[in-house]
Amino acid sequence: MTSTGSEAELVARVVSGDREAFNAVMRGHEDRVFSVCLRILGDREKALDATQETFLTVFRKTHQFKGDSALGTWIYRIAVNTCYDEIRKSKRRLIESLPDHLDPSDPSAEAAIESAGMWPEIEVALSSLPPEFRSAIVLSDIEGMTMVEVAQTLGVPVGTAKSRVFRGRRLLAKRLGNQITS
Amino acid sequence: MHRHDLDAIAALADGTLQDETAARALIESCQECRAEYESQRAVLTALSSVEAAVMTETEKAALHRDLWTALPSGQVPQPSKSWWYRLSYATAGLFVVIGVAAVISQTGASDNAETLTGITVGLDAADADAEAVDERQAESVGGAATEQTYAAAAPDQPLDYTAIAELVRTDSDALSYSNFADDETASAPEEMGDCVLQAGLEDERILGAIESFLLTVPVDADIGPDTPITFIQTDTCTVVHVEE
Repeated sequence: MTSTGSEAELVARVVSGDREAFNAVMRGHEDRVFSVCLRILGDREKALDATQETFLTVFRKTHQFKGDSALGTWIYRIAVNTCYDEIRKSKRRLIESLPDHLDPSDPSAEAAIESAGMWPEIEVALSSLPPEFRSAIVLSDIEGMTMVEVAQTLGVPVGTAKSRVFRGRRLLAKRLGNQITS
Repeated sequence: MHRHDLDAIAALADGTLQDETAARALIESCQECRAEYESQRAVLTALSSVEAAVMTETEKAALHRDLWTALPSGQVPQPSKSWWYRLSYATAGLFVVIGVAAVISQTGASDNAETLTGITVGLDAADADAEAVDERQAESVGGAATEQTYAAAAPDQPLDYTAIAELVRTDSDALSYSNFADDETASAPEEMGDCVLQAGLEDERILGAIESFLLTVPVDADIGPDTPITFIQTDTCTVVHVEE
C-alpha cells in the first residue's frame, strides 16, 4: 500500500509548516497509535508518552516521508520503534496503575481505563513476549492489520511478519496454558 | 510439519486463507497439525476479547497541548542533523553487525562448528587465550544462555572473540534497536525465530541479524564493560548473546 494523492498533499502542507495539516494527521492516527503503544508497553502513562514522542518524531521527520507506504503505516512504524526504545530504557511494568495525571473528575476516564483493560492473564502473557513477537501480535490480532500492513509497519518481509505472528501466538498459548480453551 | 503447513494452519486459524480445503484436510490427517490449529484458534479467541484502547478527551487535549509546547513556535519540520551525521550514525550500527558477521564468517560455521559452540568471552585476557575446555559443548544447543560458561577459543581458532565482545560492549549505543529497525537489510530472516528458540533466548529481543548471525540482548540489559558475551552455535545460526 502506498500513499495517496491527498496524503501527499497533506504531507506537503505539514512540511511547509501548516499546523492545521499536522493536527489533521494527528487526529487521523492518534487513537491507533495510542492503542498500539498501550498494547505493546502495557502501561497507560508510558503509552501516552510514547504517543506524544511518536508525533514529535512524525513532525520532525515528515520531510523524510517518501510515500512508499501509506502515511499511517509509516506513522505506526515510528510508534512501534518508539515503544521498542521505551522498552529498552525501562523495565516493563506488568500491572497497570492509575496514572497520576488522570483527572478523577473526568467522567470518561474510568470507562477508558476499563476499555483499555484486558484479561489480566492475557496482558501478563502478552507483556512477557519478546517485543518483536508482541508487536506482531498486537498489529495483526488486536489491531486487525493485514499481514502486508504488519510487515510494512515492522519493516520486515511478509514471511518474517507471518513467522512472528505465528510464533507469538504459539508462545502466548504456552504461557496462557489452561486459561484458554480451544 | 513443513513451513508451508504452519503458514496454512495460521491462515486457517485467523480466517485469511482463501481456499481452506487443503488446510482442513491437513488438520484432519495430522494430529500435530490439528493441535497447532486448535492452539492458535484458542489464542485468537482470547485476543478477540481485547477491545481497542482509547484516549479520553482530556488525554487527547493534553497530548495536543503538550506536543505544541514541546515544539518551538513556528518550527517547520526539517532535518535536525546534517545528512552525513545521520549517515555515519546509521553506518556505525551496521558496522557492528557486519563486523561481527564478517569475523565469524572467517571461520565458517561448517569448518569450526565445534569450537563455535557456546563460547563465553571472559573479561580476563587469560580466559580468552585458554582452550575451549568445557565438555558440555555438545549439550549446549538449546540450553539456557546463562549456562554457557565456556572459556575462549582453541589455539588454532582464528576467530577473535575478545575483539567481537569488546565491539559489542563498547558500541552498545550503536546497537540500539532503532538503527536496525530503520535498516530493512538487517531484518531477521524467518528461520531466525527457530534459532532464537533453539538457543533458549526466546525472551529476548533480536538486535540485528545478517544472514545466519544474530545479536540478542535481554530487554533490560545494561551493556557495559563488564557485560559477558556468549557465542552460541545452534543448528541454524550463530548467536552473539549479551548476558544479563
